[in-house]
Amino acid sequence: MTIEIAHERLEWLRRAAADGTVHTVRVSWPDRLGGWRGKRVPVDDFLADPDRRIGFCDGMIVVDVGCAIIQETPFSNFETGYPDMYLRPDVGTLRPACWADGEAFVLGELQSHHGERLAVAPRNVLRAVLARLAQSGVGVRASLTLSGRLMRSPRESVALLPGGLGRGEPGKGVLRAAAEALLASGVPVASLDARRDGSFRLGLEALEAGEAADLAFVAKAAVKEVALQQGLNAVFMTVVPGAGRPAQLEIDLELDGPASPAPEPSALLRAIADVRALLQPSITAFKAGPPGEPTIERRASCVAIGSLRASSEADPTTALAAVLAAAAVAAGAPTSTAPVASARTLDEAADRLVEAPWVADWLGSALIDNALPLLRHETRSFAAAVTDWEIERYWMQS
Amino acid sequence: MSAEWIDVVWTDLVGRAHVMRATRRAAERGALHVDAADVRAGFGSVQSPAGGEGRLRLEPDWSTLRGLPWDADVSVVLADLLDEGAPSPLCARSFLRASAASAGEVGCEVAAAVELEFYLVDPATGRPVYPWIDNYSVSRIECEPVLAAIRNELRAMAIAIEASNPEYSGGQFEVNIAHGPALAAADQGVLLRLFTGILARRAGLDATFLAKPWTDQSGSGAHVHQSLWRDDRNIFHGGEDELSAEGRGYLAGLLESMTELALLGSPTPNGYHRRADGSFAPTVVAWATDNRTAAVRAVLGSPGATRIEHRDGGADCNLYLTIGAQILAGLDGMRREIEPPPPIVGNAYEQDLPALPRTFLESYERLRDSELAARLLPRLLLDAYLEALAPEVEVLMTSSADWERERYGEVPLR
Repeated sequence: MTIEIAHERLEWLRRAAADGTVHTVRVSWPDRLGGWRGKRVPVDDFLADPDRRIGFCDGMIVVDVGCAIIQETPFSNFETGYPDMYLRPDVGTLRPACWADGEAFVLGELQSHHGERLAVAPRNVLRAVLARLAQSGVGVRASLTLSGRLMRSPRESVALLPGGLGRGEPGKGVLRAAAEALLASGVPVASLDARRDGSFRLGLEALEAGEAADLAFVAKAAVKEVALQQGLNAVFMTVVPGAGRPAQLEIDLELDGPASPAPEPSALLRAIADVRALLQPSITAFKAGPPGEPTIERRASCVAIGSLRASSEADPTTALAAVLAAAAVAAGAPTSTAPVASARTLDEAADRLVEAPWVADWLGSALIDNALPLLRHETRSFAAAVTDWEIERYWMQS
Repeated sequence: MSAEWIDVVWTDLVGRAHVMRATRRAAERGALHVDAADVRAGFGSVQSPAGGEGRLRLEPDWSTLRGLPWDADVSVVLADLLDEGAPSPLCARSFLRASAASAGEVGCEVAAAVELEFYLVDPATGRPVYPWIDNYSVSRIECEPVLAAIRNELRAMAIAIEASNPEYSGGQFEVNIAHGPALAAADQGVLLRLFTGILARRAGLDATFLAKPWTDQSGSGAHVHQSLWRDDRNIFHGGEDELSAEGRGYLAGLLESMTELALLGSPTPNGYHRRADGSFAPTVVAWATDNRTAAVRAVLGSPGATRIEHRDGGADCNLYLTIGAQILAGLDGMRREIEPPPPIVGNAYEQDLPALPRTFLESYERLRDSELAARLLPRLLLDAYLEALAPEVEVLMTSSADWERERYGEVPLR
């Protein structure tokens, strides 16, 4: 973000604080699964020192989907003592959160006590990938589309009309309200596609990749919050009971720069298979099957890679970093006719993260070394769980 | 004549805030009194002789006067308890004032900040408002109207709320108050507890600062951050990531006293359920640099940020007593120039270190028999505190609890 944009954003916030439209700033960061974490800070305090770092227990960057800490994550565990990590706000990301009365939000860089970027934090991982591409003269724009489902309960979806209004929903409905609030917040929503089965797709315009990831994760959270405000649930679980299509994060990339080689298609598929555990990081996400085949098109000024898919449960920032790295690794690779074997289970997919050296090389060993035990924990927990399906099926029959 | 009310807030020995609503005239004229028995009462019913124990005068500290944002006709002020014109030995607020002032003997002022954790409770179920752990989640918006009211209304009352966030348990929250003079820090903590309850009620919820409300949920602590300042310089800062000799002495004093003064931070049997390995509440006497498994955490960095965090107290403690005693223990260590043991590295829960009291009875006896406490704390205050908590020993020893019935009963019992 340029200094001018940052200055403009701060000036906006000062005016909003003065006229009372903003009283609170979410000083915040995306966690490893795209959850929105931070502290709510009174706007006057934030404005008094917008660069002030705020401390958080560092364990929260390596928790599982239920916020549980495990001891196998090398970055943080009882042996490390769970010290503070620090968020340095990036004022260039400051925006109103128009779906939350009186609030604004700012994202930032997670740092150590001494100010070093935390290599385990998704935003830092993506920025490292982008910086590496930029060194080769490659710039990246991305458009992300989120899909989910509006539901009343785990087994009851809200039937949606075109435009996103649900049957029986008051006013404009959750989806349109969320989309309009996002637009008012400066998040460039491009499309809203809603289906009778309760599924929806929310597309964002193409943006510089770092910003695209930031705003995708914000958009996802905003939709969830607006749904909660109206007593409903916007669910991004990949597969839910009765669902037709899996909920996915669709990523379209434009790699521009004179030296942007197109990825070799089979190499790209292979690389995507290597990072599948980051794109489909849950038991349920795996039920959707492999991410599918992206499209590759060389245009006059860029290489366009379309239809890259991750689960909607994936963190948009991590997913974008992973597919970008995959595209970079596959660029200029020799053509191969060998079939691309895809992992059959989340455990196998986790193995692939470690087996492919390029993954740690591009995404950082910190990310992988901490993702791996959490993925294992997920599969072990599932293996130990007695599911509703098992109870229904075996309880009386056995 | 229009009513202008003052809510005069005073705390009893076990740390509960009481509010006497009075006219400004009565408050200014010194016409407000409370029974000493009410101050001493502890958690049980008030027992006093037929003639009473005498009365204590409420002396408003007018420097703490502030308006109530939601009621234009009411202001609030904190008060000390006076006995015949002098601070009562039962007045914990006066004790903290005196403790903080004693830092002046070494040319210092104490800066402190209290982090308080609490739960918002659904009155219909008596359980947390939601069950999911979602630490630091900004999308956990179910309770945000209450939290926003706490932040915004209390800031409007000049309580220096810095931030809030969901904590590491469903329905649990933490509110951070900016550091300031020790007495003001405790005052703001007292008001935060008082008004969190009121604002929760207004939203149809309850709030609890009980140290360990439920077996299956995290405990709620009162972490006290403290530093000493001399001529606008933080004397704990000993250089980049270093604690000064004075800071080490202060820290050593905190460690030395921690076991014997534990009852001040955990005044109920319930508070000891909070102590468990892996709970992030301390179980052993240890200190470390930025390590949440240790009872005392040295947070080192810039001169402005360097401080010592005492993590033992529960969120339901008497903040005046707890902070005042910590200050005296810290200053004592500093004056004697004692050195702390080496900081631990790693998991305090798995190291062979002196244990903090794990039961109320043990903690009570340690305070009662403590020479250090007798040396540091005013005798009358200490005796009154022990007397106020003595019935809890009897309650603990003679009560049958639900869990005992469930675990040991041969048949279902109520």
